[in-house]
Amino acid sequence: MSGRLWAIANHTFKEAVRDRILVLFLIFAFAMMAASTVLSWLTVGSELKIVTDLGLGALAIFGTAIAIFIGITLVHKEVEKKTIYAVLAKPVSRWEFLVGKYFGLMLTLAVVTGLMAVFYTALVWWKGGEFPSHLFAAVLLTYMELSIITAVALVFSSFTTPMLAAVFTVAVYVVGHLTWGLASFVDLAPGAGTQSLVTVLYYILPDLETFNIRSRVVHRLPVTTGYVVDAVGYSLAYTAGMLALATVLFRRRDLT
Amino acid sequence: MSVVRFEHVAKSLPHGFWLRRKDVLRDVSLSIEPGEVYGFLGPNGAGKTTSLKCLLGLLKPDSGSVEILGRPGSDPAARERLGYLPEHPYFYPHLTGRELVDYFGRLFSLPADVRVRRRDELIERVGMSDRADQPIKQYSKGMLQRIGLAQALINDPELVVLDEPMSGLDPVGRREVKDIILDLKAKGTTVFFSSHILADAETLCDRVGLLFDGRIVLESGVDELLEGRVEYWDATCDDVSPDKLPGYQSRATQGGRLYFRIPSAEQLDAWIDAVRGAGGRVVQVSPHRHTLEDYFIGAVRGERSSDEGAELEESA
Repeated sequence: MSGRLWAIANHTFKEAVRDRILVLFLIFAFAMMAASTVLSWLTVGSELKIVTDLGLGALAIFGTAIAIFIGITLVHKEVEKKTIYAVLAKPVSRWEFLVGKYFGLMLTLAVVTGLMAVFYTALVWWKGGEFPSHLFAAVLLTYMELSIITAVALVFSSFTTPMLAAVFTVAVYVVGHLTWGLASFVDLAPGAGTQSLVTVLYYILPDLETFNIRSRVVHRLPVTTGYVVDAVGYSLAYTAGMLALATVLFRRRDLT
Repeated sequence: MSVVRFEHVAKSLPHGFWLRRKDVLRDVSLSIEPGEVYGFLGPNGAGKTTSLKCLLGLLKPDSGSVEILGRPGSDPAARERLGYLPEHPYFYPHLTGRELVDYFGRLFSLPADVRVRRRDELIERVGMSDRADQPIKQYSKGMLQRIGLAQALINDPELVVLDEPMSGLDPVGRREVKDIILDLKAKGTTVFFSSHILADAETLCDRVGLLFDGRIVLESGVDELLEGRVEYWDATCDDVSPDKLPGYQSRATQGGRLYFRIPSAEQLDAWIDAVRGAGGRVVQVSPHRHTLEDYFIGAVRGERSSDEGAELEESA
């Protein structure tokens, strides 16, 4: 990584961790994981399943919330607060700025996801459970999903306001988890036009359900290495595409 | 090779609710030679900041071209030897002053030892040593301006672009900024600064360009602009009674002193002879020159009235 890219990433990380909002999110995530132990009393026999399931779910949800919350303001905040002028007046290209910001947020998310995973593991261990065999894979794939969401948020952040970027990103997130529905909708859709529109959407939108192996982990079903490698590759490719798109959009932009 | 070069730059920007494009720059051409201090003057809204943003590649000109040290302004490498102080410096509030200067040093990919040394030297030079480890959100406007100057100089630039460097500073701060600009000038650094404080431009600049309504309406060396343009002379004499100087009307008297306003150099000679002939003593003679402000106001008024004239013609 070039020095500039690293400097921007490091600075974005510093900015994120010095913001109280991140701590708040983490506290909520811990609280929700801890609350799963309370919920587990309501069930008989499958207490541990509830804790493992809800805990991993909380990790994914709060990771996503942080990715969207910080992602949508990454560029806009710099433009709004006019801090970007001094940065881009340095020998920094626009793509370096964007990609640096992206890496900075991914670094933040790595730390946050790591902390949540540690808390989660401690909780499961405390409830007398053994270490779920594919926990690492589940957390890794959640992180790869966050990579796509962050990149999508960055695309929207590079040309619109945080409010709209949030709406668009959440929409992509929700639809991204339902793309299997789109696939089956293709045959049902009336007319060739609608069919091809749905097909295009199916290919453009990320298939985020790929990264959800939580139920397999909870029910101790096998997860093959090949599957994980494919999913990681998919995420990297999709992220690269989104970063390229964000750069194209941002490079044309006048910074008034 | 010119350090800065604008060639017929025009730029319109979206404006208002319907984002209609409004011409901000109509035709800006100028070039700045190495080692020059160039004052970019003009009333508020003339397009000074827009011009500087075009120079830095933050805005893309609609037509025309911009060059820094022979490279197009949109090329990041052009900014390698450039330092920039934005108008009303906005910096990251969560960083300390020292961290900010350090961060910008990293963006120039300076070796770590050079970066740290220059960072601490510059913080010292702008008088921020005591406050450098406080978060920027606690800084006053003057402190922001100082730390902004420190970051603008971190790469030891050949060209320094300062957008309104004096605005919001108290007299001491202005004096210090002036001293820094003069130091840069002595080192041979090219300085391009925008300002509407004309007295500062007058003392600092080699050349000034006056921007009005998106056009350069006047460009000149400061010396040529002010040289030989003595409007009148203020002259004071002592030990002589007014009736011994017939033909000269004193403007004021104080104690034994008489104050005169003499319209030209020839008349001044005659006045001095008259005072001496009457046994008096010349105490002081000082020329009153046109200031840059007179030119500025004159040029702006001239432009405004010619605009109005054109509009009248159109409506007629």
